[in-house]
Amino acid sequence: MSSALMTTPQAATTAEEQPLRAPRRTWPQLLEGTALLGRFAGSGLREPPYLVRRHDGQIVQLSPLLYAIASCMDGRQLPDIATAATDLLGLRVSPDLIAHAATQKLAPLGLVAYPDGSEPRLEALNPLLALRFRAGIIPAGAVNAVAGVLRVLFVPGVMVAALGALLTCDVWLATAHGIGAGVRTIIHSPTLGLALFGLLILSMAFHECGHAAACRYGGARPGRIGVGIYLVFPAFYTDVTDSYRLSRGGRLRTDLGGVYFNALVALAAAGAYFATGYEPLLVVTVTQQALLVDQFVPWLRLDGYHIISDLIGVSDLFARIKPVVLSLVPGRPLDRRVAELKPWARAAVSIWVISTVAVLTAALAMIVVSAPGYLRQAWHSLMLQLHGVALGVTTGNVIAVIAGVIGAFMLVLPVAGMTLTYLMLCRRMGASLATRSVRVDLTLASPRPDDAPAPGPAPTVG
Amino acid sequence: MQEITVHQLDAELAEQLPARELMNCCWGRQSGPSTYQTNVASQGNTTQFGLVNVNASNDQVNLLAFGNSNGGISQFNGS
Repeated sequence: MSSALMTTPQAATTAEEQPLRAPRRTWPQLLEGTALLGRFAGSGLREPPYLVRRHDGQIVQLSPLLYAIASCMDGRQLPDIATAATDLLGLRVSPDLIAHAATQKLAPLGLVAYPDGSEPRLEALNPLLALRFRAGIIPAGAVNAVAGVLRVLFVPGVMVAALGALLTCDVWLATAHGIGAGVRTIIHSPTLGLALFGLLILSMAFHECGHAAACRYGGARPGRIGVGIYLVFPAFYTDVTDSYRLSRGGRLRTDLGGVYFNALVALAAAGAYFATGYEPLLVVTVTQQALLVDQFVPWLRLDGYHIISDLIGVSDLFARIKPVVLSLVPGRPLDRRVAELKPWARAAVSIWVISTVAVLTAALAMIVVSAPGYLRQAWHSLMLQLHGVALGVTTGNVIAVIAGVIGAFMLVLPVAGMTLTYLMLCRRMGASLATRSVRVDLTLASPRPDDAPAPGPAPTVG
Repeated sequence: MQEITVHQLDAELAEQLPARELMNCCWGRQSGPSTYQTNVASQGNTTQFGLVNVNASNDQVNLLAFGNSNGGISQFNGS
């Protein structure tokens, strides 16, 4: 089946968008705006899936067989689709089977309409430990315009020169200069502290521009940039869903684009220091690189997680935690989500799963243990900040008021985030338990196996 | 020519992928004076480094870091 697909000009290209023919309302037909993207490059699955982009920008992966069938749904009549699919696959496909594929497999995913013409409600998935409370701040059009300008920074010569210069600067800082003078200046200057806070926010936004520019450099179209809450922390994000269409190298470049832009900020700060001699700029150089290193943590949905995911060629590692853990139980049949992986990919995913479970469990335990002490000290610090705000208001010191409000916000944020995360966790667990309860009820209500009629031969359509 | 059955078709992969949203947040490591989060807001002798609260007086700096190994607060001499 795969070989038949691979020899067809339409499907042989990796991640090249195939425009649909002009729509003529027949059924089944791919919905307007749906695009066939080709084979997922660098997949860790035994049978690499094929990608289809829905008209809402979300990506669906299909087996080669379903992709071949979907590629024939370009406005032809049902019997013609069956004939075309038969020719493409080298297997007989009946019109009834095409109708079944459209109704049961493709329509629920939003690729075709149901037979009555209705379309499913399209939603993005809500995966485990994902960003919450998203709000877009820069629309996709503006992001693409900015990314189009900044993509020149990914020209290899520019990258080598920039990273080489930063490395040289780091060696000089570590062996000759240091940042002690800069740190002292910052601690004794409240206004400078506020300026650095603003710079941090800007550098976080610039980090996202790095992802968008890398995505654009590779030939995909980035979506909006926005803000949200990740676990308990405010976060910027860039929607680069379209980068699924890129090669493995292109996706990795997109993942690394953000930290590369952090490195550029660090280099720019160092350059500004050499121009002005202003010591706190070197603190910016170091802190930007510390932020950069943090992004490589693979156990949360930070850049490091996406890098691991793209190296293995498996799109959602978190969704495989439960199947992989269960597969480690002796005598238990392999879940499809484990069996479909190539042997080396299965080993890599298992290592990631085991380390993730261990790290997240330890982190949760640490949070529980340290929460009382943290809350006590946070309350004390909050009172200090509020006292400072009141003092600032009384004396008309605007800087003190702003600093106090930001300080208080940063103290309240993790507590509010922890509470929200806890509530959402309870809700998810409650929903899971309710679903299980319904399943048990249905099982008890259904006839026992020995009451059921003997199974007949597997039905064959057509 | 072999025919595809409904069972075969139903077993075929068809699923939506999660959106790729690349994030950047100050999640911070929780050990020691992790003041690299430079979202600093200072007020008098109290300074907020992201989720780390710093209180400086007489060359002593108190750090409050969430999840700190000694219960949430540590001290070191600053100059």
